[in-house]
Amino acid sequence: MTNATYGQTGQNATFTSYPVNTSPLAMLETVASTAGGPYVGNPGGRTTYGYVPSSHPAPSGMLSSYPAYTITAAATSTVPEVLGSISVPSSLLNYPQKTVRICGDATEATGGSTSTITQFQLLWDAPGSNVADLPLVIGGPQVTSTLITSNADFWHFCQDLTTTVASASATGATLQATDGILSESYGAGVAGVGSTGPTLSPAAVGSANLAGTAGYTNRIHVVYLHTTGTDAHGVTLGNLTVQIF
Amino acid sequence: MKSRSITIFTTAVLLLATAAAFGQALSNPKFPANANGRVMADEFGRWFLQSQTGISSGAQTVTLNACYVKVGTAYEEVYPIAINTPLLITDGTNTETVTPTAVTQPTAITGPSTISPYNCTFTATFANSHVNPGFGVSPGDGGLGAAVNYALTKGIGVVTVDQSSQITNANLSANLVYQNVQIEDLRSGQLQYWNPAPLASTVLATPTTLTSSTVTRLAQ
Repeated sequence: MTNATYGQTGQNATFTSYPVNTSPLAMLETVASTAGGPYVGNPGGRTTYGYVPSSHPAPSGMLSSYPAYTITAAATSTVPEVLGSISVPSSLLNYPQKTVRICGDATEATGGSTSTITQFQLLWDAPGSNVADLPLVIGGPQVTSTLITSNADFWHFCQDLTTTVASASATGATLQATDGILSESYGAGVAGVGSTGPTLSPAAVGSANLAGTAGYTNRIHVVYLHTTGTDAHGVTLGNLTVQIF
Repeated sequence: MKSRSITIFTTAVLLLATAAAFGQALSNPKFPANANGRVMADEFGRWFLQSQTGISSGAQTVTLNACYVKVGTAYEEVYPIAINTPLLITDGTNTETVTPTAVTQPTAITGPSTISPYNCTFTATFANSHVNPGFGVSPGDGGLGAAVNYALTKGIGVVTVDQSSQITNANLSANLVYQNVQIEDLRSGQLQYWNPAPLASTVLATPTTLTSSTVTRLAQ
């Protein structure tokens, strides 16, 4: 930046170390995340909303159904892609044994993955509990099965996150990925690989801010993570449902 | 004795007429406005106010003869006029529904005695002229919008629509969405909910990237 009148020129800012960012992730659709951070959230906001009939109530402050998210950038090996970001009201989960169940489908059109291990992770994103643009990785189901490039890949997953410790502080609560399942296939009508399996509950993850901080939005990110090769296409998250119990 | 009876009758009629003029005692509350953590929408749909003056068509401001209506068995006073909450204008063949674009909150009137102790107005665009004062102003959506606004203000998450309400599916679909307010529909045998949901597939656009530039100070 140059101020022509006073002959001043701005200088580049110098950071001696990587700034620790404890704020929620930036939200930019189709922008790839970076392994080790920063992750980039995938927003699901639409231009108009209305009241629609449903057989069940929506969790307070959330939607009863979510439209498909924007397709991600093509994922490279071991580099996470945020498929979809779900806004969660402050304190909604801040009660012992409170559980959120997130289920959805993910599709990779016309093939393109040579993944050998595929995982769908759920991340808790809230100010204070994040470190260096990385939300807390709570866990998620994982499948070991080799995909073939020429086939369209399809996944269905469900994962429960349960509050094991509630807290009013920004780093005092813990969440545990309790029950989860993931199936992987080449889509309808195509014979081929498919693998399912429940995931065992990993240990609870601490330092979570479930109480929330005024002025910030808390989110759960659904992340697609695989090993081996670079995918030819992005992945679309659809049929997302969120239940609270 | 007869004269005293006539006096009492006359007084009662005058009281009713005064109450009607103020639009505050025409309701017949059935429920508490806030029953078991639920707002009963029907309680917000049974009021009727009047304009103090006539208006032309187009964008016009209406001054009401009263501001507050009473809802629920506790007769809680509520100001039901709000932006984006439709109003039914009753005026014979010129009857129409309008949506306020601007609303003034009630303010106490000081000075000489007036019809209403409060002053309140709303502005809307009218398709028809309503030349005579006294045209009716009532809920255009069965009271749903006022009930949802009340629920939002009080921090109550659920608005209940029961069989006695005049609220239609079109009213429910058109109501302004608040993320923290659900609608519980008891009009039919099956319990149904109306939840906030996206109506369009269009995703919010990515903000434009800011660019730097050189600014030259103008000579004085």
